[in-house]
Amino acid sequence: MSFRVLVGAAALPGVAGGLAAVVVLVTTHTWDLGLGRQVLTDATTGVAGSLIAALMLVVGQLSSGARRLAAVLLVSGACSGLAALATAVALAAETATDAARVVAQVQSFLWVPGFLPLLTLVPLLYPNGLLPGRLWRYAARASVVGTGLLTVGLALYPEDFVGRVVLIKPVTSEPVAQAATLSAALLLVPAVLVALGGLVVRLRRSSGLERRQVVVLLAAAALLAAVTALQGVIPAPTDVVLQAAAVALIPLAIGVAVTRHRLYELDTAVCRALVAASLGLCVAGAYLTVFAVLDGVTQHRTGLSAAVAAGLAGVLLQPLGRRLSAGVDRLYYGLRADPYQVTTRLSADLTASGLDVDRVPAVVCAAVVEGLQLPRAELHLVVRGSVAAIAAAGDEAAQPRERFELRHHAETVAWLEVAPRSGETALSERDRSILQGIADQVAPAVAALHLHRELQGSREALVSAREAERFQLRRDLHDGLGASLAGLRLQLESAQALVHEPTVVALLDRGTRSVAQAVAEVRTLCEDLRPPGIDELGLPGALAALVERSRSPRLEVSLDVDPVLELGPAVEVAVYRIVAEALTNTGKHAQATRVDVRVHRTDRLELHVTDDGVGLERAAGPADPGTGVGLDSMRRRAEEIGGTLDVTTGSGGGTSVRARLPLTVGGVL
Amino acid sequence: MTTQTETSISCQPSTTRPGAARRTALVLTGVLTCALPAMFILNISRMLLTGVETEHRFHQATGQGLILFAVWLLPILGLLRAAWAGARPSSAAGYQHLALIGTGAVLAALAPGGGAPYLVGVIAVGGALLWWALPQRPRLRLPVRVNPVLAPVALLATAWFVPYAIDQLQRQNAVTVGDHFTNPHFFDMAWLVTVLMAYLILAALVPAARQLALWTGAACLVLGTAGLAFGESTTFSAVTLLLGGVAVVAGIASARRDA
Repeated sequence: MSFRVLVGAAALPGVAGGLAAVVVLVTTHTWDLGLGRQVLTDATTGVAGSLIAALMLVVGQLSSGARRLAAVLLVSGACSGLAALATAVALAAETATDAARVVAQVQSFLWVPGFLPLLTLVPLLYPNGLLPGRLWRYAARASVVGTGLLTVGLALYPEDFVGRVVLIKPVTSEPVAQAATLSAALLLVPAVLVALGGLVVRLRRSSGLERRQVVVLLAAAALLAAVTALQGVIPAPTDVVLQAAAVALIPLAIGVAVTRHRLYELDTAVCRALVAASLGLCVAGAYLTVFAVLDGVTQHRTGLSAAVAAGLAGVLLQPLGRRLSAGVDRLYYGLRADPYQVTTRLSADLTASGLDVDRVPAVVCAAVVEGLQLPRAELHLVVRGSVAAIAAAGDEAAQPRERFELRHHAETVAWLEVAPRSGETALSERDRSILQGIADQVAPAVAALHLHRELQGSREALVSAREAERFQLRRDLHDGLGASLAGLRLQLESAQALVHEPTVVALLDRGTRSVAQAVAEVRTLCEDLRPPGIDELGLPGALAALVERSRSPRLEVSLDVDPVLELGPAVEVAVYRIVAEALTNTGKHAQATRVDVRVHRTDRLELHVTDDGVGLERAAGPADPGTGVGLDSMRRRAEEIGGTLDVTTGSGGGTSVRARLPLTVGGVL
Repeated sequence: MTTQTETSISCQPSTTRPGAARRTALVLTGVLTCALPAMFILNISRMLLTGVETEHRFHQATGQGLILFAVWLLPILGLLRAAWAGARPSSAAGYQHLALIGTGAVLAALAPGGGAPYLVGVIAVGGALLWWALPQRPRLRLPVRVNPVLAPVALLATAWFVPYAIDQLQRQNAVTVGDHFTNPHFFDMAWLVTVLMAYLILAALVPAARQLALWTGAACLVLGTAGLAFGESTTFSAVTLLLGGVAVVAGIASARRDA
C-alpha cells in the first residue's frame, strides 16, 4: 500500500469524524445542548489538523523532524474528529442504551489526546521537529505520559453526560481517576510551561526562516487567545464560529510555515485555492452589498433586488477573478510571477543615475534575492582563470548550489550562484529561465566592471611607476646635479675672491649668478617632482611644515597626524597634495578662521580636512572660477590611486574634505 | 577597490519651498478648513469627559465626534504639511480628503435633514480652496492593482456596513422632532461608515492607498469598542471590532508587501 494511501487512511478518521459530527449536530438540532458548542471546535481541529498533516506528509521532501510534527498533528486531528463525532452522537442519543453510554465515555477522554498535544508536543517540536536539548526531551516525555494519564483519569471519572438524555459512563473509578488526573497535572503543567516558554526562546534565538515560522504560529496562537478571551462577550453563535475559525488557524499556520517553500509541486493548486477563496468572498460581499443597496432603494422588493444583485455580481466575476489571480501571483511568487517585472526593475536599478559600475554586482545580487525571493545570491568574477566572489546578498547560512554563466564576447566573465529556497532541493524551470535571462542581461555590465578594474589596476601601476621614477629622478637631481652645481658655485665664488681683474671679476660674478640660478631651478624641479620635506622629514614632518606655512593671524590651522606613517610613495604625494590644495582653497575662498587636518592610518589612510568657513555654495560665487579646479584636482589625485574623495558642506556651514586612500599603490611601499 | 567619488554640495532637501504668497494662501485655507473640525473635536471631547448628554456618548465617540473628525481633520493636516514643505502630498491623503467630501455629498443628497447639506457644502468649498492653494496636488490617477487579501475584506465590510448606513439614513429621514432633527447624528454615522468603506475599497484597489486599510481598521476598532462600551448593538459592535482587527492585519501585511 503506497505511502499516500496510508496517509489518507490516517487522515480519514479526523476529517470524516469532524464532518460527520457537524452533520449529526445540525440534523438533530442538538446545537444548544451542553457540549454542543464544543463539537464545532473539536470538529474543526479534527478536519483542519488531519488535512494539513496529510498535506505535509504527502508533499515529501520533509525532514524526519517535520514528519514527526506532522504525525503529531495527524494523531491530534484524528482524536479531535472522533471526539467531536462521539460528542455529537452522545448528544443526539434519545435513550440511554449501552452503546450511547460507551460513546459518552469515549467522548469524555478522547478530546484529551486531540487537544493537549497542541499545547505541549507541537510547540516543543515546532518548526523542524527537533528537540534541541535535554529539557525539551523531558518535557516531551512528560507531556506524552501526562496526556495518557489525563486520558485515563477523565475516562474513569464518574461524571454523567447531559445531552437529550443523561448518560452514565459504564466504567468509572473515582480514586483511580483522581490519582491519574493529579499525576497528569504534575507532569503536564511544567510540560506546557516548557513548551510555550521554549517557543518564546526559539523566537528570541532564531533568525531568518525559523524566526518567521515561529512568528506565524505565535500570531495564530495570539488570535486564538484573543478570541477565547472574548468568549462570553461575543454573542452566540458568533462566538462559536469565531472560536472554531481561530482554532483552525493553528494547524493551518503550522502547515503553511513548515511547508510554504515545500509546496512547489502544489503551488498552482494553492494559488488557485487562494484565488477561489478570495473571489468567493468578494462576490459574496459584492452581492450582499448590492442587494442591501437595492433593497433599501426599492423599498424591500426583495426578488428584484436579489436578481439585480446576482446579475451585477456575475458581471464582476470574470474581471475580478483575473485581477485577483494576478494579485495572488504577486503575493505568492513575488516578482517572479511576472519575469518582465524582475528584469525591468533590475534595468531601472542598473541605470539609476549616478550608479557606480562597482555597485553593479551588489545590485544584481539584491535584485535576485528580493525579486525572486531566493535566500542567497553571489556573483563571482572570473579574472585570468581564477574566480573571486565580488558581491553577495541574502542569508549567509544558505549555500548556493546552482550556477549561471555570464558570457560576454564568447568569454565567461562571471558566475551567478544562487541558493534554492528553504526546503527545495533545486530551482524550478521558471526560476532558472529568469535567472539565465538576468545573467545574460547583466553580463555586459559585469564585463565592463572587469575592464574597469583592469583599467584601474593599470592606472595605479602607472601612477606607482611614475612616483617611483620621480623619486629616483629627484634623488639623482638633488644628490647628483644639484650637489655638483653647488660645488661649482663655491669654486667660482672662491676664484672671484682671489682675482682682482675687474673684467674677470665681472665674468666670474655672472657665472656665479648663472650657477645659483641653475641650482634654484634644480631645487624647484626637485620640489615639483616630490613635495618638499617628504623625503627628509617624512610625511608627518612635511605636513607639519605645510601647516605651519598655512597659518596666519586670521587662520588657525591644527594638525593631528600619526607620528609614523608607512605609505607608498604615490600615496604620500597624494596626501600631501590634497592637504595642500584643501588648505589653499580654505585660505582663498572659505573665509574660515580655523582649519583642522587629521591624517590617520587604519586599514586605509583616512584624511580629513574641516574648516568653519562659509561652505562650498557660498564660497563658489559666480566670479570665482578657481574653486572647481581645486576640487577636480583633489578628486583626480584620490581617484588615480584607487581612493575616494568626499567634499561636503554642513547644514551650519563649513566644508569637510574626506579622503580614504589605500596604503600602497601597486604593492609598492 | 572603489573609485567612488562624491562631491555633495548641500544637505538640503530637493523640494522647492513655496513662496510667501502661496504660504499665505495655505495658512488662510488651512485655518478655514481646520477650524471647524478642530472646534468640534474640542467640544465633543469636553462633552465626553464631562458627561454632557450621556445618552449621545456613542455618537460623540464615533460619528458625531471623534472618529468622523479624525477622518475629516487628519487628511487636511497631511495635505497642509506636505504643501508647506513644497512637497507633493501623498495620494492616500488626497483620496482620504476626496472620499470624505464625495461620500458626504452623496449622503447629504439622500438625507438632507438636520443641515447636512450645508455642512458638507462648507467642507467641500473649504476643501476646494485648499486644493487650489496646494503648490502640488496629490497624484490620483494611479494604476489599479487589486489586492487579493484586502479586496474580500473590503467587500465584506461593505456588505456589513451598507445596511447599517441605509438604516441610519432612514432613521435620519424619519426624524422630525427632537435632538436628532437638529443634530443629524444618524447622518453622521452613515457618513462615517461610508467613508470607512470608501477607504477600504481604495486600499484594495490602489497600492499607494494600502495604508488606508489601517485607518479603517483603527476606526472600526474604536467604533466597535465604543459600541460595546456604550450599550449599542452587541452583534454590530463585535463584528465591527472583528472587521477592524482583520483590516489592520491585512493592511499591515499588504502595505509591507507593496513597499
